[in-house]
Amino acid sequence: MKNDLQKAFDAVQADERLKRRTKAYLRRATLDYGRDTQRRRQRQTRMVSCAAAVMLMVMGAGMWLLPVTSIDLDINPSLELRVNTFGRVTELKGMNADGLALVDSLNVKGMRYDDAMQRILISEPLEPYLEDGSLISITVVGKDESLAEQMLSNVVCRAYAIAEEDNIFYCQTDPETARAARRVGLCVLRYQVWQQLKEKDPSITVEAVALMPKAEVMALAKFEKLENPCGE
Amino acid sequence: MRSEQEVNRAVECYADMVLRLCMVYLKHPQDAEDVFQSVFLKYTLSDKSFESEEHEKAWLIRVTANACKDSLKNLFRRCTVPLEEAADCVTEMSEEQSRVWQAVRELPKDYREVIYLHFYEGYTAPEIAGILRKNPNTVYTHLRRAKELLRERLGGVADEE
Repeated sequence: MKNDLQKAFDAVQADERLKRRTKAYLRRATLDYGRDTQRRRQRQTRMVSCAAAVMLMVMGAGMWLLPVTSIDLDINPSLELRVNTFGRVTELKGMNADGLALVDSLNVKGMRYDDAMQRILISEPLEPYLEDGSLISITVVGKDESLAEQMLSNVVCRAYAIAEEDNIFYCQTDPETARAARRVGLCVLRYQVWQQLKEKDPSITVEAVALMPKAEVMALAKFEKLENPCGE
Repeated sequence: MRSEQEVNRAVECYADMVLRLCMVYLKHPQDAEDVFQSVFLKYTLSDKSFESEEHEKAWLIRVTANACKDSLKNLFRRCTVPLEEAADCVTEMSEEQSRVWQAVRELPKDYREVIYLHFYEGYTAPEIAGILRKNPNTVYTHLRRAKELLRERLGGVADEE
């Protein structure tokens, strides 16, 4: 009987068609042994990479366009350089009539802020203002104090190479103070002088400070024995 | 998940054994093929590592037996019994072989598995007990009764071990 059983069991064999069907079924059931999944993952990875690249480009563009600091240059023409996180000038604005008249002739967009400052100071339209020993005030406005300090040092160095040191006044401040100065219609330098003068003489008005010639403001500051408002 | 190469090797090595076990348990060839494929799918998806080919074979026997029993519990399984319909899987059988198959398939299912594993795969009762996780005494009993029933139906001497 053992032989009969073995022969009978021997008669049952998985033929090639069944094996082929089974192998095909297993490929389907396992999504080609994960190769589909792998391909899908690769596609997803590529898509995520592309999206990340686009996002980085958008963010980069945003960061390029977004000013993080500004440099106010006040001679008589009053100008404001807006500087992005990469230290490049994104915009040059005229802050008074003379400044507005100059803006179009000064092409500094995309330049490093200190190079831009140098180009402005040696530019032809500014020559007449600097020849008569005008006072130059430079104010760097930024949230990051150490960055603003570094920038101030760099632009003042460029200014020293062009104008008389005694005629250059400079300071740095935070955006909140800059906004407060703008609200009362003063530049940061005058605003800070006004703030310090007010402590000694509360009767000094904004209008009075605004109308003072710059030299007088500084003289008044010296007269009042205040520290240089630029911290020098 | 195992590699396609590994799975194809297992299909080539164990297809006959898995199919025979399926045919021992299940009466309809389509049920047998369904279980056959599900066993190899389970093998494909399993991360179990085997110590030897014997270990792998025993695992497949146990998985097949369990899958067949699960299939038998399915109320919607096919109930017809045409051995002839299994022509896809069965090489041409002599009249005597068909008679033996028929006799085996008419045994209670617990007897069928031990008959196949003992007489064809050559496992001893304790080995069968180990593979199917049964009590060895139960396997001995099933083997003895299965032989008796087969002897009654087929005649001849059952114990030619």
